[in-house]
Amino acid sequence: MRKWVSHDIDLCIGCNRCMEACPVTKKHITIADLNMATEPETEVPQNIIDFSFNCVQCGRCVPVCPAGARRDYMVLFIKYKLRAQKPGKYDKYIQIKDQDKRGFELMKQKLYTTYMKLKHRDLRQYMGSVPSENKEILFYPGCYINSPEVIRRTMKLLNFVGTPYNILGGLNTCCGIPHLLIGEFELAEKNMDLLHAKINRSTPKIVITGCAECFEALVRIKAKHKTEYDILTVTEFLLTHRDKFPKVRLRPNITLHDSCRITRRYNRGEAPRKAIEMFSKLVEMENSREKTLCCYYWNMGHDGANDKNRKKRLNEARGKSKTLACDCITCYEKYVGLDDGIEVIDILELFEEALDKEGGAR
Amino acid sequence: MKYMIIGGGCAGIEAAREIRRRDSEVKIIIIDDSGDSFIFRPALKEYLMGAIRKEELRGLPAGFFIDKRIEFLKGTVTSLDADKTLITVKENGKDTVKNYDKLLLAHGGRPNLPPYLGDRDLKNVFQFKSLGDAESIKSHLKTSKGRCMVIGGGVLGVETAELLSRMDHNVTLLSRSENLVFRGIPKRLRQRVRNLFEKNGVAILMCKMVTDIEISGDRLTGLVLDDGNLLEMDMLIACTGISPNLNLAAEAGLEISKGIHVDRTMRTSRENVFAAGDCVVLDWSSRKILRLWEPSRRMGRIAGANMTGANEVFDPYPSFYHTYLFDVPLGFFGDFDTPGEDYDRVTRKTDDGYRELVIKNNRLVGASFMGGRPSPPPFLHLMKSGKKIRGGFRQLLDDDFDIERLWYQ
Ligand SMILES: Cc1cc2nc3c(=O)[nH]c(=O)nc-3n(C[C@H](O)[C@H](O)[C@H](O)COP(=O)(O)OP(=O)(O)OC[C@H]3O[C@@H](n4cnc5c(N)ncnc54)[C@H](O)[C@@H]3O)c2cc1C
Ligand code: SF4
Ligand code: SF4
Repeated sequence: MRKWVSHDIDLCIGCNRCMEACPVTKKHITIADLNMATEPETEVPQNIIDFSFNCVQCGRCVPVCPAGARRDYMVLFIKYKLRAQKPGKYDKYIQIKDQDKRGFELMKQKLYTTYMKLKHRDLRQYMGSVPSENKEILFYPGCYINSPEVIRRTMKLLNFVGTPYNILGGLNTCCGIPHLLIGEFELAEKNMDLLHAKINRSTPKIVITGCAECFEALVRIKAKHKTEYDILTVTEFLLTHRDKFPKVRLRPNITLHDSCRITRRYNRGEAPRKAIEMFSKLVEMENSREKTLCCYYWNMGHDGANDKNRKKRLNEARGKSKTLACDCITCYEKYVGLDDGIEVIDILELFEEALDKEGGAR
Repeated sequence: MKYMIIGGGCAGIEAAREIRRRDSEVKIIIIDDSGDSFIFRPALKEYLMGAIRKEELRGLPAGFFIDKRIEFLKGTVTSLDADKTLITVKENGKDTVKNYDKLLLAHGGRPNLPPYLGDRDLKNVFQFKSLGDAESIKSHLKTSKGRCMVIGGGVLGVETAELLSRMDHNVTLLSRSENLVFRGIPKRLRQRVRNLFEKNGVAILMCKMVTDIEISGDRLTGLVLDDGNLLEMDMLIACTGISPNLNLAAEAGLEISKGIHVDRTMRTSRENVFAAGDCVVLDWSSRKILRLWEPSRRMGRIAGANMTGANEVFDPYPSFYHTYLFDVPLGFFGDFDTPGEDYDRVTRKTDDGYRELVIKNNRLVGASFMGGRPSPPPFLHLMKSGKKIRGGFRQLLDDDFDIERLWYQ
């Protein structure tokens, strides 16, 4: 990483396009200061510390760079540097997520899990146990097993499709991306390695997930451990069984919020588009695909402007359609319920509604 | 120990930083004649367009020179005596002679002017190298309505033409040869670049010679071409390449040809004299001339290290260039043009895109592309490491190839 980042600094010709494209708040940052702060031994000024922890690693800065430099990695490296200097700061997002917490942290994690298990009894068996029975499909919700509504919906759809599947979820199956995003590279690596072992117990052929961060972790694990299984988003998986779903029209039109990772980073934005076209008509926003905006979930700096930015995004969507669909569960949770003027849906809701509608008609 | 650096461009500054990194005591002096210490020179294009402010052009944080205890001298070095280790500096009209222990020539190059312009002082003819040039062009453009001629089909020529066209000026690009962007550009790619420009309203004239010029007062008003046509214009920007500054090196008896000769460690033919950046030529490499930002910076760093006694070598490979023209990515990597014998080319064409890989002995040695979702670092990584990818290189041509994957291999 260090080597690549220094190469990136050399590539940078100072055109400022990355910061033009960057959606998070920054105060008077010049490329000169930013590049200097990115170098291994230099000190990081306060305005750049603030910016770095605001950086959501959305990658919007990447496709605009004429020199082919990776500003996202450069900023990530600053986080890494800062974390190494002051471990323990900016911990909020990884407080209870980790695969082998110890001591007090472990207790907190356990307590939370027990609470969730009591609250959602139907899902308790998936909160932390590792499936070992061989099944073709592994549905990996990781920590968002704690978002029962989405999990139940996904399970309903998987049941309908009928292929046997396992579920791997719980805080102790963390994918490691939260750590990666704040520059805890070693912890991220460790979590991914542990996850790799847990996935392998049931030797799946396909691993599916609805979360863009988990998706990224899976891609990284696959590349590192040269695993055989395919990685699909839940939407991609459902599309492979599209013929089973009733053809109904659910909304006059729908607009789509692309995920930073699934669409921009991995160029897998086709599935949600096809899914929308199955049940409605897709209208694209100006800031879509590579230009998509962030949901700001990973804004570690807890920037006060996040909600304002989200609302701006919803406004853009409202100009296109009455409904905004999200492909990534993280984005969905950040946007839903924020603005009464627009309906925000998880894209799986379309499949579910289609089933319900047909069920009702029968 | 006294380290003297001529030229405060990216090569000179990187060298100075590297020397300071390795030795906190020595005296470091940079002499530069431009006054605008270390700007992001390539970002002059953004500045011209009004996308960034002057302060943002600065490539170094405020207080850098004081912080690093680097002396910055505004002056022109007019003479070099390598036997006596002396240089002559013209400061405020006065000549002073200074001695050095180690010297770095990082004084870049001068833009060429087309010979048919002679040495007349024409008010609407511009070069594009310095901040001053950018300012003059900018102020002329404010009132300019007619045709902007851009001369030269190289990197700077096409980028300048694109920029002016995006600023809604009427642009014609004139190239003497049949090459565009780079010499050796694949023919089909060249055609697509041409189409792209024409689609955006820029006329491109290739393989045309200028036989005469028309002048009115102190303004150039037209170029007469070898086909007899007259091109009328309101202004002309010459992007006809950079010639390395060689007079100092010649005077001191250094080996020179199309640049100052340096070995892999950036040493010249004279002891204690190093050179880096746009002013050098690598006569030992198949990529002899790399007048680009990134290699200049790296050369500077290596020169700096070796001036303090290290023995690091510069690796010119794989060189690459990447940019956006009208939002379409365009990239050239390594030996995209002349890889020698025994190589394969695999190509993929779309209506407005083009990708080509050059493979030699199962190794990716070059690539050129337009369109798609490229990400240069992984390409470079593949070329440098000589690694293969599972499923073969051909996948790199696919739209949905997950280029990120290469990072984790
Ligand atoms: C408009 C423009 C756009 C460009 N865009 C790109 C791009 O997009 N990508 C890319 O890779 N490259 C680009 N380049 C090329 C890149 O800028 C150069 O390769 C790089 O700046 C070379 O750095 P250098 O330090 O060798 O020389 P320079 O940057 O030329 O610095 C040399 C310095 O030495 C000073 N000097 C010269 N002679 C003397 C003397 N006798 N005494 C004292 N001082 C002296 C000069 O004033 C100058 O400040 C561009 C160049 C220009 C002009
Ligand atoms: S990754 Fe996103 S938030 Fe971070 S610097 Fe790039 S554009 Fe800004
Ligand atoms: S877009 Fe690229 S070249 Fe421009 S300032 Fe950002 S990193 Fe540097």
